[in-house]
Amino acid sequence: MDGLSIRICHLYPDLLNTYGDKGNVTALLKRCQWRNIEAEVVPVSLGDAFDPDQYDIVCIGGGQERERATVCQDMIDKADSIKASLAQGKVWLCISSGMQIMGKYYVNSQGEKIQGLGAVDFWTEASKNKIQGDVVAECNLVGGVEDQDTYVVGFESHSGRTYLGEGVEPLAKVLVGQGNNGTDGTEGAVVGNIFCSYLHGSLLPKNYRLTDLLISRALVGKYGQEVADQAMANTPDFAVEELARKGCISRVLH
Amino acid sequence: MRYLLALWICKFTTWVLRTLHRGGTALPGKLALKVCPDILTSLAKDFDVYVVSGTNGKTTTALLMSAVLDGQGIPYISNRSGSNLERGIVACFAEGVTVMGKPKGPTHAVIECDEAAFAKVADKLNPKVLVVTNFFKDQLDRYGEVTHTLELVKTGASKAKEAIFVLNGDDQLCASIGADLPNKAIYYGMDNSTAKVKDGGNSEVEAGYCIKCQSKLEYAFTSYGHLGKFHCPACGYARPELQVEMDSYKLSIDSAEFAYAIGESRHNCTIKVSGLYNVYNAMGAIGFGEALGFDRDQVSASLESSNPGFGRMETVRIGNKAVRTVLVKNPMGYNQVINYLLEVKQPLRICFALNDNIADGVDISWLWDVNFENLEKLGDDLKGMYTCGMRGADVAVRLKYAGLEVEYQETPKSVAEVMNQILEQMEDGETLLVLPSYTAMFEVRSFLQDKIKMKEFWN
Repeated sequence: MDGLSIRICHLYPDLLNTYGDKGNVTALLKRCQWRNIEAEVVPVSLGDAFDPDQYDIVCIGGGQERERATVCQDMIDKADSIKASLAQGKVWLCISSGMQIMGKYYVNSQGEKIQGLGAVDFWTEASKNKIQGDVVAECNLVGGVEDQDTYVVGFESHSGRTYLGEGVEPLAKVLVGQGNNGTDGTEGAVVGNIFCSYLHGSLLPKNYRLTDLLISRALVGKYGQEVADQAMANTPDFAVEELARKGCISRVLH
Repeated sequence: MRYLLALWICKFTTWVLRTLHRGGTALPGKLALKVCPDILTSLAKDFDVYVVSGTNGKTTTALLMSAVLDGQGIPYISNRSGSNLERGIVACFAEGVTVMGKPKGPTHAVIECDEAAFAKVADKLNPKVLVVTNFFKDQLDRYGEVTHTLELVKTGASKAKEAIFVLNGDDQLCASIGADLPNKAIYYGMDNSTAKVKDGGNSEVEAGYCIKCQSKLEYAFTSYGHLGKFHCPACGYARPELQVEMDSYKLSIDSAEFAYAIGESRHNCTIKVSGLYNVYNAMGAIGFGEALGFDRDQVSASLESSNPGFGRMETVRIGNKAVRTVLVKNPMGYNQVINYLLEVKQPLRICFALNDNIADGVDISWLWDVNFENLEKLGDDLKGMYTCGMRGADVAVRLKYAGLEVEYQETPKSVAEVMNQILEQMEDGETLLVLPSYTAMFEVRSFLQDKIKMKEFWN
């Protein structure tokens, strides 16, 4: 739809990019552009200013242990503007380490408690064993016609175990895989427009409905429900995305 | 006694598998290790062992090192079929010794060693030379982070007390092995005076931060990925002085020409594989020749006469159509192949064959770190793109989001079926570039074998 624009901020793309996190940003960008929504990706990293009014969607990805520590320090400097963005209801996609930072705290392998941003009520504890593998999880936020349309697929690889506070909704319920902690069947967390997940890298390209949900939320926030509905009414082609998603579901579920 | 028993079991199972024409190299070594976990120490003790490790280019480098030995008339054994885990190395040595465990003939061994395996086998092999190629993101799901992979190799290197190190000086991770350990080290890399600053994109920044103090590194130039003349403004860690220094290169479709200096002596060399990454591999082999004190002109000449490794880049002709196969297993491998295609400009079709078995890496999210967007620059030279393999549809999604047209399989088809279809579509004189992941490479190879009855690779 003409006249609409979405600005996407990719936070720390040079540090938190372990698992193809660029894919999430690319998926958002392309699916906006295919709807004739003007879209742009702006990288913001260490020492850069983060202006909360500038960005409709913010993506933060997964990283290695030592880079996460560097990022945590920098985020404290940006805390006010980040909190402003969250308070304004901007759409956030936080993957893996990016997710852990959004929680209340993280207990590392030395038993040290590292403060998070506290944007969402969950906490994370390090564990010796790494959770890894393909995941199929049911996400009721993404609608569809057929049964398995609500299934999201992804790949998890994390040693932290995350526990959701009371009343915090997971992003999805795990059907195959370990999810947040391997015990309670939850995967990720969602509060308002903050989407957190351990399904890293190419979560959005693998799940076009989730991509469209994020774009829709951003449009609602910026232009209101009616304009958003109009812009989203025309869905760009998704045949190959669905082929890949269904291929993954059938290989993992059976 | 236990050692000999294990050796015999290994030899016997190898014989049985070969008689049955089964191409597996894993089982014999695996059984031998069960019977005698320390068998490798006994097997390797009468050999001068030369090891190559690192994330990319091991096989090609091992092949070029072998060529250097060929040039000197030195016979050697080598695990060239590509099995580079401990069991594969055991099988290789077991084949090189008599039933009594003494070398049959050659007393030198060129061993390609997986990074994690090297941490475990370094003291058993006690190498005379250790060549380390580079550290790029590779199969993250297997070994964790790239710094962890570096630690594994460093652990191995610290046990290789007698080894001369030959290290890629342009890779800050690789060079840190020489900085942290007392061994004599020979560094190779690119000279800054004529180096082109070019890259498949500047997103490969996994080593953009200093390995010693985590500050942002500065580069006088980069050659590709994070390789280049680096220095850390905070702690002073910098690229070491290079002993083998390449100062110009030129790539063509199936060869690479480069000029290099070793101290005062200057050399030119043309290798029969293309790609800047292969020039680096050749420099690793030149450094290897330096470590052993070989005649420099002879080393250069022997590289010129060598041929590329198993599946890495080989061309077969089917009628008037060429099929070129390049094994790719991580984003840097892909980016380098893409750069190579942009440089040589030739009409072609590309077939991606991606599996996600354990040997391929079960996580394919790195597809999003590859700069497929650059393929658009091929313009009309790109006659068609195809995907197949277990994750073929995921590759097709990636290419779609890179703005490229791709033919994908709506119903699952074997690699052979897809390649047959492509060959039918191709016109005479065209080239098909096949980019398989590790296990898909075997499917590609067996398809090509059927087409032209290629020799089994250990004949």
